[in-house]
Amino acid sequence: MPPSICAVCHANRAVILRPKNHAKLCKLCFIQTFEDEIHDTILSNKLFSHGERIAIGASGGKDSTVLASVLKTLNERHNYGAELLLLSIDEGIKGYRDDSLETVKRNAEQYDMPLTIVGYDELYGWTMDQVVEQVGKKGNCTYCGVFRRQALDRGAAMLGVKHVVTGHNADDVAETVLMNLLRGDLPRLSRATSIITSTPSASDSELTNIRRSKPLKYAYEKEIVLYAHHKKLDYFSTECIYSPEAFRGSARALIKNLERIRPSAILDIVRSGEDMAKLVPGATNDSCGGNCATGGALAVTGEEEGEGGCGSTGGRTAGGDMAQMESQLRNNEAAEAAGLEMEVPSRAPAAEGRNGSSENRKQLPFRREKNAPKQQTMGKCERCGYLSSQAICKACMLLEGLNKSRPRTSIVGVDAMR
Amino acid sequence: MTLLHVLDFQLQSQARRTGRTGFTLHVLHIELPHDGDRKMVVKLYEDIKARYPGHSYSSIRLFDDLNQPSNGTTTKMSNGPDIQEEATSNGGHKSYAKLLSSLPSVTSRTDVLHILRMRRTVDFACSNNCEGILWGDSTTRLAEKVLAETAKGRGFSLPWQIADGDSPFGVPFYYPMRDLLKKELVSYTSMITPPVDVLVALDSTTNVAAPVASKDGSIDFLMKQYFESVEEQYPSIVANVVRTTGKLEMKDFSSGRQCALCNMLLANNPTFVNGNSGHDSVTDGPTLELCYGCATAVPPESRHLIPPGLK
Repeated sequence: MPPSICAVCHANRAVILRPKNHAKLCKLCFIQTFEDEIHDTILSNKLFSHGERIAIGASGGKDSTVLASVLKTLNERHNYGAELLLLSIDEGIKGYRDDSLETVKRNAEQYDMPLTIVGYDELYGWTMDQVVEQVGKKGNCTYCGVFRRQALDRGAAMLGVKHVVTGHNADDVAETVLMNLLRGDLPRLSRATSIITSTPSASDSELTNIRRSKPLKYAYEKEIVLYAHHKKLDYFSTECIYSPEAFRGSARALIKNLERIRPSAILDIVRSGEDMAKLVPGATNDSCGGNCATGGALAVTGEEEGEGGCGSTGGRTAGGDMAQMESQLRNNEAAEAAGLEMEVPSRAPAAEGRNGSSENRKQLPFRREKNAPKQQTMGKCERCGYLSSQAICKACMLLEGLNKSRPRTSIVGVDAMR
Repeated sequence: MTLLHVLDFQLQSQARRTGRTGFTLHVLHIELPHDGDRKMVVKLYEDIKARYPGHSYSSIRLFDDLNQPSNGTTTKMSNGPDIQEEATSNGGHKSYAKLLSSLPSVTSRTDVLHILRMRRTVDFACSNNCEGILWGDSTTRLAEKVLAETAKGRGFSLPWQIADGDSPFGVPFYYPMRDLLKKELVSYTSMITPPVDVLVALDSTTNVAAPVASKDGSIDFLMKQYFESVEEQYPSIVANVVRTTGKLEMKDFSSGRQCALCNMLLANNPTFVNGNSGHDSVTDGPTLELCYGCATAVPPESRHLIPPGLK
């Protein structure tokens, strides 16, 4: 059989079978096509404005490394006039993040971009290692996700940047769509599929007015890997040592199987997700076609997975959260049958969180009615000023829980954290 | 699926006790061009007829030029006079086979087959003046459908596909078994006296040692396997998928245009592919408007085979 010829340039030998559509391409054409598609995404969604300062959420993983590389290339090629910065979050996970941050530091030199690292440690007084020690391996991803989301915003605010781009790829988005269908979370489904999420400001503090976008939203994970490989990018490929949520693992395994059956399935799911987002009750049917996300419901509870990290752990299923949800659903059913009003058990507010510890605050009973309307009203967290639909934002809630139990389990840490 | 017969049989006898029936049933069986034992299927059909007399029965083939059938039983409610099966072999149905055989993948074929079966059912219901169509889908089946349709890019049509009530076809759809798990149905068929499990067409897919998601599988089949395993451990999650999807709103698209194949309402810019998809260009001629899902399933070179619409 004669060697196949690249379908684009018809000159070079094809060495790549595109995972997306099985087109046969040569190396150069693949790289070109990949970059062009990202460029299209950026243009058609009007992601950047000229002269904008943009922080790239960088984990050192393949997605964010490719994102940084592609954006640098495109910025120069198409004259976006964007000023690109790298912003990394140090969750404080030994044997994982410390190594990947080394990669980011090298990237910063390679791409000539200034790098800022924000640590959970300095922001919250807890590293993820300490959190895991405290809460165990189950459910720690919630902490990490909530903390990361805020940390990125806070880091961006420190830099005076209004726009953060993250390395979420098509697989991640598709996975989130399926995951949220499985766990019945429509608001989050609609948020995850929009390419730009911004926190519409009830207040216009620096923290709240930061846009997020995902330029790689339509890029296949496999192609990102191929791109990184052929461009010989320097990235860090170890996965987070703490196991992922079972829902995500389950959804991820499903997506891999779907992709095998029909390669376009990933984009088809993304498309379905976008379409369904328009049908979520309360979604505003605005002219920007669902891309502007939906009203006020988007920013707060967000524990969208950050780039790299939690998102990229292969289909291991811990089963924990699925089983937990199963039993919760059953309880709800039972309660419904008994005509009882349902309440989500709340973490009892007790000791003051670190951020608010100097002030003597009235304790608010934190209750969330299960049937509460989806549309949230946005205010500020009483403790840290972060945008929140509740009196106290989720990160402060979680911190409170952590801090409360800290003295009991560890005697040493108490003063250190003040 | 055949369990629906039992439920309706009970309703029927209740109604009879009061001396009159509130509705009449028309049971429709559609033979699919599957590989399967035709004789068995016909025997099942006859057995069911014998077991539940007093309803109208019809058995039609999805298309008339292929003879191997399989199961696909639906029950319909009608108030009108019971008309015996019309021997349909109008040209539209003939081209079904051509269309199917022109499709490139198992997923596309299964997908389009289901659409055609639905259209055929609707056709039948309309020509028999039925007031609604009852589908035998269980919660598990509906959950499968939700994820499978999502994976096929048909997410936009989900509200119409799983909700009770109006459908874009002009005949309301109902899913009376939407709250029952598949395993509950299976148990039920063997528990009632006399058991009716012998009347249930064996689900060929569940018994075969599951080929783990090979390239040749279909998305529908993959989802079926997936939810069978989820149902084992987490039945509430299965039900929750359906309930959640039920909360999606049916948006009334002002355009009023419908997809030429699946009949679902089209958004204003139906085939616009956001960003860059793996598909070939999905712009169609002005004559044929397809939704994203159908455009994905039917490659451009097969589109001229799509039979003319229902209306």
